Amino acid sequence: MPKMMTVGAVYFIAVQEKVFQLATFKQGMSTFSPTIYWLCAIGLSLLTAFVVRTAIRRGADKKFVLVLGFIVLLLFGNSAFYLQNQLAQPITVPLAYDFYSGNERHDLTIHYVTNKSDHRAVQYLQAGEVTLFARYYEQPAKDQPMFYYPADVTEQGRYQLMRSAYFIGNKEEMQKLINSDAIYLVLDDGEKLSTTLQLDFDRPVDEVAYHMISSSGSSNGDQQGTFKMMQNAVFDDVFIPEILQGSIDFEEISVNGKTYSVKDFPIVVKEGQLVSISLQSKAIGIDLQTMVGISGPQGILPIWILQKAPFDIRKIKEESLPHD
Amino acid sequence: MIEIQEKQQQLKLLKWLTTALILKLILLNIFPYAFYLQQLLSYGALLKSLSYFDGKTLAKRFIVIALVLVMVPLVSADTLISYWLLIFTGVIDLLIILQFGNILLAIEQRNNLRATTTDFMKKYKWVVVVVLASWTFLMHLIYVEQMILLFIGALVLFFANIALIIHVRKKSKQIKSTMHFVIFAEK
Repeated sequence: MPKMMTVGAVYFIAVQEKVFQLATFKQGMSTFSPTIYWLCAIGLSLLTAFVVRTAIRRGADKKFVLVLGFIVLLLFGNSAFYLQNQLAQPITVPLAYDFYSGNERHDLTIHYVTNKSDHRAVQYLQAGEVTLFARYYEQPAKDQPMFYYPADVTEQGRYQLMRSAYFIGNKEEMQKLINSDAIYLVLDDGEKLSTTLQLDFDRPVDEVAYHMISSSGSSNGDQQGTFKMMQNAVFDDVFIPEILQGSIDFEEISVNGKTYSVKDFPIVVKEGQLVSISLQSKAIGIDLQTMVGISGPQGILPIWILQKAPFDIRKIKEESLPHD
Repeated sequence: MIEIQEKQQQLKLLKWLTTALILKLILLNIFPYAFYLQQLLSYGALLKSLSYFDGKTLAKRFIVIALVLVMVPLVSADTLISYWLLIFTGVIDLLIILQFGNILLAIEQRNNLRATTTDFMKKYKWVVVVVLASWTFLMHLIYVEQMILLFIGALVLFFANIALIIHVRKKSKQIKSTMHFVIFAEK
């Protein structure tokens, strides 16, 4: 029995190491499918059953050996489940971001998701010849080495961490980012992560004259903005950028307490009236800082949607598929 | 009546066993090298303790396996491997303790002491088994839950080991008390 135990223990560790080496996050390597992990787990379980049987035959306490076998089975099952939930490669959270065109200096935060055991961090962003280095939100003291992890962790899941990379650039650099087709985040070890970015400066449209009274958003996706009109205007359309169509719906507009829906367009509002716009947004795997609103000949009445993607790998992956 | 020399051997065995258990008492996982030192010292003490026993036991082989397991983190620092090590180290330690339980039982019988070791070991092993089974789920948890589960498990193991140490101390006291009798009888 002890010999079996030794062989067993060494075998378990060796196989595990091998599986992990093959499955890990090395560049260009794809993971095994979950089936392989479960097959490994079943194979190891059969081996365990054999060891348990041998031990019992050699006169060990039957109940106890069975329980130890059960613990080992639990370990295999849990490990297979754990491996199944690992990412082959870090993924980036898509970002739809409108820069305020009035600013000279622009910043953006791109979130990405890594396995918990993966402590690499994004060093810089690469788009054609533009390179933006990742920064701390607060610049570290001089000569202090840059350790991104774990300061950049924004959320923790069961198997992954949501991390953030923060970039600052000027107008020209951002314009180049907007124009480039492929933008990569580059990790410490040189691995490139492709990103899905929908960047733009806020649309060069005229805004109607208004006073912002309040703006609110709730976790179930209700977004509301209330304005006091400073001019007479006609609204005949809902403005929602292409990437968000289907995920943000215009619900209603109320003018001095009287509500209208899309069917009632065009709507005439007068100076001094209180206008309130309600939108419903679905939780989608995209980080948002985008302008939506209602528009008409006099201009647009904007609502800024600020929304963080939920930490849901499936949803993020859905949105990461290339948009045509 | 057994020889004084044999009793002294048994006392030494129990003394080294106590030393090993005390070394194991606190998990020093936070300081990596302190942990290696602690593990090596405690297995060393167990081997020293075994050297005073000349019956048949599997403990030595289990200790060798345990020493191999101690060395694994030097090769690989992988997260999953560390979970596996935690469980396998726990299992091997339990097997070693159970072997020593058999030795204690043999000593009890040799000295005609009240046989409480079997009962004690039964409770001890089920407690450890439950802790180890719960720890196989560690890899699915977020840090706070992991810390709570580890802490509760470590606390339970701590008290189980304290009970074990007290048990071993009691045995060695009982042997000593029979020795006084022998010494007085010789005078």
